[in-house]
Amino acid sequence: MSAPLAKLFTPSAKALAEALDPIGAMPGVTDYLLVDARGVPVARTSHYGYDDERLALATEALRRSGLVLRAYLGADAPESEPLALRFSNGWLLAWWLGGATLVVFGREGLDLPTIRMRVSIVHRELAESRRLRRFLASGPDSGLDWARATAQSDEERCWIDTIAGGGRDG
Amino acid sequence: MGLVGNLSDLNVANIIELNCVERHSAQLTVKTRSGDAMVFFDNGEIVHARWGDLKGTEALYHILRLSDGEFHVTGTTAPERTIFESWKGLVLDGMRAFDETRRLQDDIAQSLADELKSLPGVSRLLVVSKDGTVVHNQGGTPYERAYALSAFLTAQGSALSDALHFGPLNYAAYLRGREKEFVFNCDQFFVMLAVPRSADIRPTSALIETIRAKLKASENELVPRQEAEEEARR
Repeated sequence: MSAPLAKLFTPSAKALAEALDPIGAMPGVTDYLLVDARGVPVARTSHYGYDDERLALATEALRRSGLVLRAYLGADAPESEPLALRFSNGWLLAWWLGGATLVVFGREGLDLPTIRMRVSIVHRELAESRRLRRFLASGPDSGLDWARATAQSDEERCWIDTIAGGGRDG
Repeated sequence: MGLVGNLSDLNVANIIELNCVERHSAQLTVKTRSGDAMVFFDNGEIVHARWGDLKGTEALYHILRLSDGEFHVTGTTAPERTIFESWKGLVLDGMRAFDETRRLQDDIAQSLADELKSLPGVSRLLVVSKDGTVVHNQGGTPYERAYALSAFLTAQGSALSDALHFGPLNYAAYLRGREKEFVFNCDQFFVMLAVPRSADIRPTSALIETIRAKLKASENELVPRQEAEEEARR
């Protein structure tokens, strides 16, 4: 169990950590990472291979993607389904868990149905614990304003405004 | 001077001609999504152009391709000189290169749309060029937000790729209602396509990779050809 989750020291936090742990051992999965609504890692695979700076850049880009995608999808945004990013050398899957972001890093041979089943267990643990939900979702920088403020260019801000300004169905 | 307007009413070549014939010393600025594009005139000659990282004639040729965007002309002096050729020759060469590129881009867009339409179960297909022009819209996707999302997600994909050394982003995929949407960029286009939620993603994934490889191969053929043509013109 990672340190921040251990601090909670509740049966729910323990259950959540136990639900996350097997993801790291699944076929095709190299790592997983759970960051709270402020982008702070709260749980991850112990053999995690990225340095903190690259990790921060990556999680920030993923959190921005999630916020903007959910603004685009509106009512169609299913929390149980990930954003999948296919790169030439790997996969990234990102789920949004009540403000927190779960990222799964993968390579060829990823077993998506099994991962999805495991993530549904994480969802259940979250649904059952208000304290855990509050812990993961807390933070001032979890909305579109944050995504806009941390956008990398005027062009990105312009795209965010277009997506956010169009209502649910554009 | 003090001219203000939109390129949809007065194109870049016209603005250049106006400033050069009138022998103005001025700065043309066009507001674009990628920052300000600037052309500087000194006594009726183009002396400098800049757009993002591009400078000189290369920047000018790209600026000549702009077809939309607010512009203004002010009486500013060029900070440096990067262009030494006559304005008439530059505009002619720029427009010729633009026409050739546009013809090739149209061909690419058409073959891209044809190949993607051949996938089983495609319910919507949107192909938008990077300047925001819709080149194909099957199924009536509201294109402005879709274009913005495609551009945004592919930009985030590049940032992730840089941070994690994952190689280029092939596509982003997510569920929307009963459909699975794929977003990716190919050459000068953003593509969004929707297939049924239950569809196997492998054929779509494989086709995207095949198309990208073909485009890369045709780009490798095109660049030396354009360079040879340019050399012959000189």
